[in-house]
Amino acid sequence: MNLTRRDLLKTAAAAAASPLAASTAAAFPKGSADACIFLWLGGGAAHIDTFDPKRCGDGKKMPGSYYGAISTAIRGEQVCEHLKRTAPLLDRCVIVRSLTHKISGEHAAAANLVHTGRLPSGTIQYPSIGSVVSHQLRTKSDEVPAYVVMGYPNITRDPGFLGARHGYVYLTQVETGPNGFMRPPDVGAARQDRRETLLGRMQDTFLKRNPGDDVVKSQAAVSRLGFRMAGSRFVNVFDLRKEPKSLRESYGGEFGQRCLLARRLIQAGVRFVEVSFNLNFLNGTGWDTHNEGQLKQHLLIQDLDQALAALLVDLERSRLLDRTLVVLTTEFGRPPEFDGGGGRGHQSVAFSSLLAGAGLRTGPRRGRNR
Amino acid sequence: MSQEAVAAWRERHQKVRELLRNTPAPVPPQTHMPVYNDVDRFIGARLEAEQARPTALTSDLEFLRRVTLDTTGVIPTPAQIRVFLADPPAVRRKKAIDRLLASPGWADHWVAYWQDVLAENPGILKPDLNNTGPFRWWLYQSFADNLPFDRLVTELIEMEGSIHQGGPAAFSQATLTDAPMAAKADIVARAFLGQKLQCARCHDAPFHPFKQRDLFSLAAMLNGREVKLPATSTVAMVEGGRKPMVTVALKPGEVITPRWPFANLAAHADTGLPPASGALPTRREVAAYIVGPENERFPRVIANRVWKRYLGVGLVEPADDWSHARPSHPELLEYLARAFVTSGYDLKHLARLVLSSHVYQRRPVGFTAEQNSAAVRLFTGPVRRNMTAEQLVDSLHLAAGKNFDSEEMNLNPAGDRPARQFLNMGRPKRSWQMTALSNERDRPALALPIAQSIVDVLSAYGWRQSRQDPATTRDDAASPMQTLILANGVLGTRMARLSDDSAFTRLALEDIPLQRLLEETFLRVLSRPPGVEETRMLTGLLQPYYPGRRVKGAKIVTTGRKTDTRVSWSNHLSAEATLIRLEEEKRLRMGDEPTKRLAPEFREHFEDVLWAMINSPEFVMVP
Repeated sequence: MNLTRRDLLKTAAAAAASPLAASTAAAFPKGSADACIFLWLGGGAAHIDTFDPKRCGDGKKMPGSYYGAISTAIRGEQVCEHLKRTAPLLDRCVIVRSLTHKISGEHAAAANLVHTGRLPSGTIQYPSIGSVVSHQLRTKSDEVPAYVVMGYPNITRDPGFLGARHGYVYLTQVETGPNGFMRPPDVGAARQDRRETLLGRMQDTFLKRNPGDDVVKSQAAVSRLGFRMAGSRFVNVFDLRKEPKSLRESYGGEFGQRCLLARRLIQAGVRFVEVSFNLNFLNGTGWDTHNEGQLKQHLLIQDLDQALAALLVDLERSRLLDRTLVVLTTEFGRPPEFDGGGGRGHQSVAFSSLLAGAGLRTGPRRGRNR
Repeated sequence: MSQEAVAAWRERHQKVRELLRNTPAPVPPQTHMPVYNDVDRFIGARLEAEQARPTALTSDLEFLRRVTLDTTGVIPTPAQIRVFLADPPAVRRKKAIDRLLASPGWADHWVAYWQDVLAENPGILKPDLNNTGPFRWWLYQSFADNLPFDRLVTELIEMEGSIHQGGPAAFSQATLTDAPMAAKADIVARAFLGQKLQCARCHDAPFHPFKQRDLFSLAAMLNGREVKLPATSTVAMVEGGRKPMVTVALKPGEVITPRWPFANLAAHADTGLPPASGALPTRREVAAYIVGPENERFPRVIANRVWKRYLGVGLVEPADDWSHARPSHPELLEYLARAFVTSGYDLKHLARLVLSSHVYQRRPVGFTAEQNSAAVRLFTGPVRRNMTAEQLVDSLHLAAGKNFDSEEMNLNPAGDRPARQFLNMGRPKRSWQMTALSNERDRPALALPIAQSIVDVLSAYGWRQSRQDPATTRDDAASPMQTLILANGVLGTRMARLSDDSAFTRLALEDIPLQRLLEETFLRVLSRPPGVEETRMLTGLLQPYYPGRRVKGAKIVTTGRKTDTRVSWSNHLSAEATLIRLEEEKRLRMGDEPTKRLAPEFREHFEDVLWAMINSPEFVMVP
């Protein structure tokens, strides 16, 4: 998107009206993205075991990374050895290694902070980043929601004061499709037709009995829009079999399939897709690698690596990368020290995220963590 | 509560009554408009003056559906409808109101309301998102006992009892909040005085007559001693930056002492309040300032809340923000407030006044105009509204005759962790008993699939799983997601499913003609008999399968849905726990197991009829 002079003036005017803005905002840079894929590593992914490798520790007394490091497409930058597919693509990315906040005790509170940017105040509920994007960019069409979550519905993803219309459609597994959009398993097309015919008749009778009632009319109209959404092309987006088998396989397991679906959703006009990586059974703890969770953490990293690399390549090939901001993040990092069981505790004072696409000036890392 | 305390409260009410007797009461004006009680005189006189016409009276059955929803939170049962119709027409509405006000549903329906207004926000997993303890059961008991409302307010503000076991002390909690009593001060002031202090949380309020000091002085009273302004409760000013629109008079770290900030509403605390048992004296004082007879705002705010709940729009809007309020009917408001106080702060008395009025019993007005518009606030009739989320979910279960069947609101069935980390909120039977499912960790084994299917519907219709801030008006406008979740979601599927625990299955198995089945079904779902056209259409659809519908010798299928209690906090990250939950989710997606006692063809057609009925706008809209 090119900024016009009028845009700049509008931005400046809006900033001037904001009680909180202290400095001029006219120089605020704007990226080229109109959609975002937000990859969520719930549990607190260890930055030093992924995108911020340090000297290796021994898994017991001596602190440090758990794996060796490998070179990347950016000279001088290294990542963990289990990110070998992503490493050559790192020139499409920005690693941010300077994230910090003060909540390391509790996952939900930290996850809420990362999603909303605020601590709870008790007088207002702040919206999640997905709801903010929905509010700012709106939907592209009536039949496509702005904000989709692959994961469990929870407070950190809620729209807060922005209101229900900036909430999300969610699914917990790729194969089941979005909650509320797919017909129950025992209702085929013929039965659905019969149902909707009956419903239409009942609706007409009700409308006839309440002439001049605009609320009844709009209720009926909204209901019809719902059925239109469920019967629309949007639902087909969830059918991954429409993609070539080789592409599907390149993405890997459940998390990879979610990433592929995210690409399809962005293509269909969704603005914000949060993809949760919650395959805890791979190592018994997910990214929350206390104690023995550390032992098989590499399986998580490899799974992430395959999906992330496939997504970046696929977005680029589909010419979506420049208009899509890919964010990979988590609620906090983990310390270089090991706990009694050979795993790691929580650490929020320094951790990492990765940004990609969106026409970002990619390559050199942002921030440094000693 | 001891006998002495009860007597002391009664004595206080008597004194207040005597005080009121010495002040002039508003006189209900003359009017030619329909009058059932004095409420209608105030409304009617204005209608006449504005040359507006009231809407027609609802039909008896429309009235019954509305008033049953408004008092008990659910639609009437066929039995209730029959009792109603058996009464002589001249008295049936009055008798219905009496019966309903005495019903236990009264408490169920009010709890849901005050959970929102008082921001009850318990968390079942290591609560740390501005969570309160659970005070829903205390609320429930208070409304079930019809506790005088001034007493309820006093007990709430005293915040005594248990945090985790359901007492009003639970209200005092605000986890991870560095100024918990500032949050409570805003809640209390908004709920009972219409003083919205929200903006004064971080700076002096730009559009309200409140300074940040006012909020924190009240917070200090609730705290029992001075409070320090946390650094997070301010707006950072940048040197040389633009001059901001708000003023920040307090500095971080500043100490604020307890002081009653609303001398304009009440200059003196009520000294006649019965003695407290050990509550913080300054909390007592807050209660005494609020419920004291000198404070005219309190009974008006409550009267307005009751009015808004039943008529859809308040005499004062916004109902929780009176700073710039202009009541549409100031004398009616005063009349209702006096009636409330005189009755001994009896919420049921207030409710009876409103429900017995002609204006409440008129047909709804379906404006899409602004809530505050002059036309809406003439009250030609009540404002058309949808059921609340709780009314919808509870009514669906009632119509289908099915139980919630939900998992326990508890993520640690093993029970080996302290209550401050894991609350067991029990197995819900009504919607207000649901909680946020707290899966911020996003872990499949922490999912509660049945509860989630209920929460999905509740959330789409405006229920908030997290009540981090107080709300008087819900964000529950019609949305396509509401349609979708009811039409395709698990809960809707279960409610329309003819399983052996469905009331509709039992009906369909009875030896009755199809016509009767349709009549009973319509009564159960829509509280009315089917119309001629509807009977014709549905008879045409079902008749071919009706005679052969019953399968001889078929066994009853018990639902037998049990939550797998092997999954608990200690093992929820294991592969087995994950698989168990995913399997449960998958099974649930199929809905309840269908009965074998009805032939599949009939069953499916009849299910489709039920599905159409519960998904029609008529079901969800209050008549």
